[in-house]
Amino acid sequence: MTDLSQSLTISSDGLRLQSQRLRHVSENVANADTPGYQRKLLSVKTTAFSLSDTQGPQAGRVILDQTPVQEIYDPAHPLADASGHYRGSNVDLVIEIADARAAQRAYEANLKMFQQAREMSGSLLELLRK
Amino acid sequence: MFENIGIFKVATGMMSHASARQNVTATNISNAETPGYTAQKVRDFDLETPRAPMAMHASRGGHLDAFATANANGFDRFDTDQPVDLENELLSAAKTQSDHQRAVSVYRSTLGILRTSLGKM
Repeated sequence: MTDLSQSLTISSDGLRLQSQRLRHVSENVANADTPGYQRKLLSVKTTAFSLSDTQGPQAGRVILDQTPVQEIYDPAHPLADASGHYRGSNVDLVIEIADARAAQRAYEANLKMFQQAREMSGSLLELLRK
Repeated sequence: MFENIGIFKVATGMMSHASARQNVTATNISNAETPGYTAQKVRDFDLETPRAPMAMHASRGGHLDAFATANANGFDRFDTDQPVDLENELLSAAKTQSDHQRAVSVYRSTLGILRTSLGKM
């Protein structure tokens, strides 16, 4: 039973990590048109793994993508400089969508493991009935 | 009359093996994106080898009661040194669930037989 409850804890760590990742992806998408916005990336903490003491993933620091922001030509824009360019964001929507899909799949996989561990402990408890 | 109880031991051993494997699979899936993490595995369930790493050696598995030492941490867990493969993990999760279900059904039907023999239907 400890194995199953530990498995629930670990799966919920995974769920938390993936939902935080999805939160940053949606922040990036929402700010795709914000001038000067740098996209946020969520890192995962590297911890020492041992076979006897398992643990779920922990979110590390949020880092800013250092890719240079796009220079967009629009002389009518209030922020445009002498050459008619202004600094946009460095968000690439295709990358964000792909990232969101990856987070969704990982979330689903974690959720499936959570449900499965619940079903297994449920069927154990079912033995006590009758 | 009570030789039958061995079935309980086997079923219990199989259930705790399935839980241990469930734990390892959940760890692998949730850590799929952790840098430096390599997939872990639990050795397959079989009746011949003693479960615990510190178990006594026997020339034949039947000499010692292998299941007396079966517990959650006793199953051989090892590191594969490979990155996590989600498809494999989901397959092993499905297998784990069916193993567990099988063990639970065996346990339940054996309980039923015992109840019948005691006259408590």
